Amino acid sequence: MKKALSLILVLVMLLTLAACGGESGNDETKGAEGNESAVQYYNTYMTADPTSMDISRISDSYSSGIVNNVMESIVRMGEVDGNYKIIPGDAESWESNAEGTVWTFHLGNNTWSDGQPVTAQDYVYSLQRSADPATGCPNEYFLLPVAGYQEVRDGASLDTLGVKALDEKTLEVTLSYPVPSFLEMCCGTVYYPQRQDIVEQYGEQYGSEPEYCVFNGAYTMESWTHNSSIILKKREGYWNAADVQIENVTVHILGDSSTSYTMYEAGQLDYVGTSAAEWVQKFLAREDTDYVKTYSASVNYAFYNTKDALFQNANIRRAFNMAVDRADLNEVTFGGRSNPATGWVTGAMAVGSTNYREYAGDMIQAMYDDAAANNMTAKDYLLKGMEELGLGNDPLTLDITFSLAGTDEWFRTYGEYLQQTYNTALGIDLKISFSEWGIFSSNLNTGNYQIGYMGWGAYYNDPYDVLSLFMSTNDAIQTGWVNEEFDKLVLEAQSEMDEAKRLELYKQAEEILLLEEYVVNPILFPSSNSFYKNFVQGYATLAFSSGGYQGMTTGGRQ
Amino acid sequence: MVKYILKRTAWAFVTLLAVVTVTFFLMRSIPGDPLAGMARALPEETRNAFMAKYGLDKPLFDQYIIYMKGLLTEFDLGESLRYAGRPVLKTITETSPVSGSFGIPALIIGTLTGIILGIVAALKKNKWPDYVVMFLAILGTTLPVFVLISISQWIFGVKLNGLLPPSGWGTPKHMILPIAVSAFGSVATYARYVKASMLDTLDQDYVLTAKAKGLSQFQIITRHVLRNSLMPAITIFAGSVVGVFTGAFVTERMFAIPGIGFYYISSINNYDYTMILGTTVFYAVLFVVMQLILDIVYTLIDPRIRVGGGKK
Amino acid sequence: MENIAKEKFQIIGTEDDAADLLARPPINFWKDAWRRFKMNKIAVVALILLCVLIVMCVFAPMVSKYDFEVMSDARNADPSAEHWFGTDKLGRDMWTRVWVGGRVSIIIGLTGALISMTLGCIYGGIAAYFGGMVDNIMMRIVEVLISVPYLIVVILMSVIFEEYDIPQLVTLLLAMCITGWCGTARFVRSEMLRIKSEEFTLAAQLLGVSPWKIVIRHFIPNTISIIIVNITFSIPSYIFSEAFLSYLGLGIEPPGTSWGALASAAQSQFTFYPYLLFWPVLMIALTMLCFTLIGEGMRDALDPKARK
Repeated sequence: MKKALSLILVLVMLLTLAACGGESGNDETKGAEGNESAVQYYNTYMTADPTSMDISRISDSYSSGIVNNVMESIVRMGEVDGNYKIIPGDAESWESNAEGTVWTFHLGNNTWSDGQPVTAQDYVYSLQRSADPATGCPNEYFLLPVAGYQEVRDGASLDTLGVKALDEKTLEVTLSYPVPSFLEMCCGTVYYPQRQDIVEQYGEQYGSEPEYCVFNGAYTMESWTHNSSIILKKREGYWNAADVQIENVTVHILGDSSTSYTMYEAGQLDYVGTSAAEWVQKFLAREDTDYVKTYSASVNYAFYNTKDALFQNANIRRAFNMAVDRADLNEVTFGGRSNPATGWVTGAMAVGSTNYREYAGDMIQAMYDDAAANNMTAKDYLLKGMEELGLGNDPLTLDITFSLAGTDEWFRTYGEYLQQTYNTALGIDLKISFSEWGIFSSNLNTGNYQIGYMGWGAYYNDPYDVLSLFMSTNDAIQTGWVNEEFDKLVLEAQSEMDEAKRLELYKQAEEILLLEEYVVNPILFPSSNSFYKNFVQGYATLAFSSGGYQGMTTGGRQ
Repeated sequence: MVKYILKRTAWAFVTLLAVVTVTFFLMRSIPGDPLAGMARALPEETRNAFMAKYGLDKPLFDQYIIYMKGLLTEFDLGESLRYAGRPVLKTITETSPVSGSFGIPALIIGTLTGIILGIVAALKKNKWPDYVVMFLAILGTTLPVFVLISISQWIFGVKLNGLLPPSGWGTPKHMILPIAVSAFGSVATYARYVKASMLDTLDQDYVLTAKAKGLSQFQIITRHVLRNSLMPAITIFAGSVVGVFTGAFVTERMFAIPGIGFYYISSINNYDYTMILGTTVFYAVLFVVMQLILDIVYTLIDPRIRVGGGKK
Repeated sequence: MENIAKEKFQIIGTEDDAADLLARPPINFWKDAWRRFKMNKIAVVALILLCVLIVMCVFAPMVSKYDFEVMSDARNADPSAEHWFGTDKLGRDMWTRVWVGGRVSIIIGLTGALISMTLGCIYGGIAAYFGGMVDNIMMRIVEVLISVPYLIVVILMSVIFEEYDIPQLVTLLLAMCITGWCGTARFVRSEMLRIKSEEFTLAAQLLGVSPWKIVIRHFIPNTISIIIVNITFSIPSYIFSEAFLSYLGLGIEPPGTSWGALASAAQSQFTFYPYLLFWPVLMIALTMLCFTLIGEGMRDALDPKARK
């Protein structure tokens, strides 16, 4: 016993010593960091660990958020005066044929982090690897427009894919149909290059740790402590290194939002984002902080199982679409910092340089206007629908469950709000069910749901990205809804090169969705509230920008 | 003793097999699969390619056999289904020491403080030290850990002008808050158990005898009482040690500590089958081994106990 | 425990008349315990406070002028004469919600702790008493149960139970007890191993008392103090694990609520609206305090050695 006690005492002493020693050591490093040298650094965070740096195996936004900085794409989506502009990446210049089916890219002088030049062959290999069914790439359907894609999927040789290296620096991509927004698509990670020799050298481990990667971007990954932090360092071999100002970037992985707020207040982060109204107010009051509100390219929506005995009826769906007070919901769940939805296509989307939403107008308001003109309330539509289905006229007899794919506190409040709102507006007795995403999605697949709720983040900047979700060929949102007219309009729009005509076709399709069939109930267009320390400049303000950290500066840091 | 340990080790092995088997089949009966976590429903070919790649397309029982074979012949825990290219074994061996590096100091500090407070409370029963300890114990049990962490991050990170970094990992300075917060919880537990069992022991006849023999109170406590009243503390300690190496999800998440706790929760939410099994095997091994050690320690501390059963 | 061969003993008979003589009227063990419990002032106060809490949970929502689930525009209001405990994010009256939540929490805390104590004591007691192979196998089963990831078991249960429309509260209790008792069982066993080597156990065995009776009469009363500490700890942990389960969609069905659910709902904003967290945590702490003090009173009352 005595021995044990003395052992413990020694241990405690050692620990105390270690703690003391550590403190002095840390002060030194702090001194170096705080030095008024010209070295710019930037401290930011993400809410989850990236899954991998292997662009053929990722589909999460955390991975692409880092990949976007350590890899260079063929072109980048930049910002000029608040508007999108395609700027050079690996390609110095590019052109397409008149139909927009053959695209030629002329590569510049970028190199990989091991000194090798970036070649057209790297792109050919990368696209082939992602298209190869054996790879199991979760993002491969972004390659859908590339000629020969379907053949490769069906087992043809990888050379069938319409990607060719005409010479070391010239890349030619052939599409099977015209895609006006092809350059926007090229900013997606699946179109980034990969090195065959490196991928084959590291095999399964490729992309899992910095030492099993090779980079061609503005930064290299210096270290990756899973679930803790990622450190990026400026790369001198980058073609545009002269314009990259920030030398070191630390990306903390902070899964808990309150921690990130405290970190920002403690000066350990130069950026913080929040959707909680109270925190927004608190950060707005800070003098050392700039505020940026960005429409994120996503939409939160409820959707119906149109195969369900009740929700097969459009009037009933309409009643549920109308019964939600979007502005009030915005107040409750986002403290008024988000935006009530005004349609299915989010406010961030543009066709060419025209904002789609501004063109198509507020379709939710149109729904209410139409109801007011007919002197009908949400409950009237519900009763009308019940009558059509022969279900009597007592809404309390209906057995309706609203499924939420999330189980945390936020979803719970949300569910309770919806429950009360619907019960009051429609006089029903709504049940709410919460489940983990995997279970929720397997319920959707089997059609075992009535109303579901999800958020959707668009991948690239064209209304096709979100409208195509309701085409009968797409089963991403399992509504069971089929409408030939809708399919025709969306397909036609997708390959329409004339922007004005394209806008109109998309608009007609959206009207079918929201004003005739009520298949989906867009609720909010979330916006992101970003706060930067004053000395941070040059950050992106548009949702689809892919500039990354390379355009930013922290030169004014005190 | 050697025979006993050998026998127990054999049993431990059987237990482990049972744990893996039960976990394997339970986990696979939850609806959904590793690809359900993807926002977009994947095309059939991509799904199939993924499933084939990880052998998930085979009949369930065959998969079980393959996994067991890998596990038993070369201790192969496979590769994470979620984090491409990261071997499960590597993840465990890299992250569990991190969890241990703040958990062990916290456990030692917490246990010692708890035992001392427990002794004090027992000796000063129904006097103010007892009430203070009880108050701390109740606070330590009912105050949710996220509140404790948020408050300490705010005080040390913001109020005291960055005396300690609110979150992050890498320097000893980063370890102070996590250690303090984790220790706080165990202080409460140990203080209460030690107090109760001290009170029990103080009533025993041999304590009375010792008193009658004229031993000083200090001698009575160190020679007789402590030895007998630390049993419950040891039982809990064994559990806590296992807990240390399997991480603390909330603490690690809030302090951005690259520990193992994250994988216990996320692997299940992500349907990362290999990671679920790997972490479960790891937990079970630790747990079973600790039980074995615990049973041996019992006999050492209290010679009257014979765990092995009747015969000697 | 060594077995003592029967043939070593020989019955020599008893003095029959002396056996019936009673010096004092007999006092039943439980009556005696209750008498001594009542003498402990603090424990009695705690018992009264607990009763008050329970009465409030039952009646306060009935007389409140607000419905616990009805939203209003007074969102995140501070405590006032209108709303004694303030209102939450959706403008619901916290006073009413706290008491409604208490119903679920107290039921879950109590039944959860009771079930796991009963199961744990019996299981641990049997394992400790018999020892050898029985103990070995029983403890290995517990190890398996503890090692299988709890989350998987709970998620699976939620899926199955939803299919068969089993009431939420039952699912909850089952989910919590399925492994909750294992810890108690291990604990009780280790404590009983200690008692097993005491002289009175040997004496009881020699007198031919049945194993069942030895466990109930000797093992449990002698370990009661530690078991009681274990229970008073497990009550708040059941209350919190209900909150954790509601994270998994298994908690109490909306619009219903509980202290744990209220506390976790207040988590993200607690720096702005601390009282939303304060009330449920205070209630959990009070409940735990009551059980702790009652537990200590019970310990003193039940401990056979403390009988004077």
